[in-house]
Amino acid sequence: MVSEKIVVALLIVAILLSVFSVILTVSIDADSIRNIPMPSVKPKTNDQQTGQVGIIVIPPLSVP
Amino acid sequence: MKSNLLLAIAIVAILIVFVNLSITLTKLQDLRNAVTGLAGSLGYVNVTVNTQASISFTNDTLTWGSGIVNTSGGWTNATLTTNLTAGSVTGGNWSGSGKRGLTIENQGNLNVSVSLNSSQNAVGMFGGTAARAAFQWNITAVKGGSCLNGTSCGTTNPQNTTLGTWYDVNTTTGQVVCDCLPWGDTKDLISIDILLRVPDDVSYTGTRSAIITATASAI
Repeated sequence: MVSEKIVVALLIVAILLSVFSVILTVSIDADSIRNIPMPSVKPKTNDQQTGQVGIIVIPPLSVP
Repeated sequence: MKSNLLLAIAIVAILIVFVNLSITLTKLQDLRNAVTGLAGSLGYVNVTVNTQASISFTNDTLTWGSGIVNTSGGWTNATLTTNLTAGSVTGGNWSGSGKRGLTIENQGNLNVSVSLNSSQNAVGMFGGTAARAAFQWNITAVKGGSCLNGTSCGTTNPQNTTLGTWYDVNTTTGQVVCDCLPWGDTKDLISIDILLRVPDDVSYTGTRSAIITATASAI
């Protein structure tokens, strides 16, 4: 047989855990979640990119 | 006595569990309404799409290989040009195969005006007799309607540069080459064809290059 003291202790632990769970649940605030600020991205009104043009020029032959 | 104590504690525990359960269910309903896209009278989704001016060189490099002006054939310069599919060369022995102009795509969600600036002009690129040298660009719309008249696009200071026309490159201030490059996928691509004219008395030989800077401004 399980000791009555152990049963009482387990019940008390269960009560404490339940109370803790109630506190956690109550602390959830739906409005605060809904109002989490979104990252602010500023509108971008201009952009700049580069390309390249290249050529290899061989010196013209000189006529003596 | 002890059994009564156990009974009382058990009842308290069960009551607390029920309280906890009811609170949890209530909170879950609140969260469901608050943070999901539930399509109904209680759910909502708030989305903000920011505007963005963004362009990209989808072809950012034009490299002519090595070549020489055909002076023995009587040419005073060599002219190298590109178009959308291939390049062409007269008066020199560069290869025009596979030489395409630079292309710019509007990848943002705003109509933009595009201006170009080059780090070199013909004199800086080749030297020699100025009248025999040239460095020009020519804008064409790769997709129909890719470059609209600025007046029709609401541009405050339209330049209305003519498409398909060769202009000397600008090294000081950017030249507006397209008043209105739309952002729609069917009309967001322009080509910058390049003309290089190498004089026979070229001063600068070897590898010559210029950086083309494209600036997009939201309209």
